[in-house]
Amino acid sequence: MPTFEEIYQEQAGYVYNLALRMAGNPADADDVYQEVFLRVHRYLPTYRGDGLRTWLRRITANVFCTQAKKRQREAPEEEVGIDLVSLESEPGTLLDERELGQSLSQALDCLGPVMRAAMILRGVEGLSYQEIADVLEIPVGTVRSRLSRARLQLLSRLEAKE
Amino acid sequence: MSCAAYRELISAELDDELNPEEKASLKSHLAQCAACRSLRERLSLVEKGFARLPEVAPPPLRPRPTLATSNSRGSAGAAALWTTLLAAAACAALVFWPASKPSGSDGVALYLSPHSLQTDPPQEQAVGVSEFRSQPLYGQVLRNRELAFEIQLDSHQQACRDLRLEVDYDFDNDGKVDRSEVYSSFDTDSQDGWEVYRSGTAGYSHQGEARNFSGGTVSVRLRNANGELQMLQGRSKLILPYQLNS
Ligand SMILES: [Zn+2]
Repeated sequence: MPTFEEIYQEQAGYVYNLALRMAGNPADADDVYQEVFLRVHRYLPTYRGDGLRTWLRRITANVFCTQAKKRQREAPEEEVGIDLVSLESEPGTLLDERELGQSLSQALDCLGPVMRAAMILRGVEGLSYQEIADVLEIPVGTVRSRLSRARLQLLSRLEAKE
Repeated sequence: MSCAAYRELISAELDDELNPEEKASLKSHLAQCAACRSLRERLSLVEKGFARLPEVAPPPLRPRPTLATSNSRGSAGAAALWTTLLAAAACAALVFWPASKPSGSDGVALYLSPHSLQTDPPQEQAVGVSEFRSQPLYGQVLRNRELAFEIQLDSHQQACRDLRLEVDYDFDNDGKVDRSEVYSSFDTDSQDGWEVYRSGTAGYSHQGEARNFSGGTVSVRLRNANGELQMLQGRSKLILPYQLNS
């Protein structure tokens, strides 16, 4: 069974980057990250030792969603309209592949918190729809439709930048 | 089915989450719809971006959140979060040191007082020093225990950044440091008022093994303290995991 210190030494980078990708800014990411390790410490006695990353990912997603909901009470999530014209444009007008990581990281800001979390769990973490549904506690069908809308919003944002 | 409906299938196809019927249906639509083919191509390019998102080094854990509510955002929500963190941190300390009393078999309390570490609590008083050394100590190390500390600090309006607590042990008084422990960086806030910092759950490193004391000393330094930093003696102490011979 890993000790708290071992988990922290080996997984701090993983947790922080996951938090940062979900939260989109260092201040919120830091809040998530600090809270995750407090929970890790608190719940370590109940951790059974299987799938450390799975466990950390679940805690991180959970903390992120809780904190995002709190923030949202002040500023409710708004769906960005998808520009259908841009969706029908020809490829080639698109995205500079070299700067894709950086521009995607900015484009993710256009997504609401749950959509964003789903997108990160899929795109970065490679989870299946069922796994995302379990982590975020939403129906599988919702995962599928949200990811689809999230992708269209991202694409629309990325292409609008050109 | 409309193109709008196929967009969801295109997305699910990228995730390999289509059943055979959906796959076939999408395939035949793509064969006759240039717009959806184009969309699929562009969406698969976006996917590549996820592997290229910037990686950032994690900040240190805040060993002890401060009691004050001032922080970068200063919102009510952040203040509430601090309170939560603080409560959780207090629990954490209990878990790590289930019985860290000032004396007895669980360790010995050493109070930080100007330039010295003493076993009797001094009077409460603000002091502006950052180095402390004990008298010669004799005693046995308590295995499976760790050092705990609780210090009260205030740096007034000038925050101390990256403050670290360093504890050096010279067990046999030969003038060489046999073991050193570093409790990782924390920041004091920039408001007047005492803040409590406790040994926490992380950001701790050490070199050298713990041994019994045979006339050696322990010394404590607050690294990166600026001129503004004050410590409240009488309320600041270490619990050393040792049973001292009286
Ligand atoms: Zn179509």
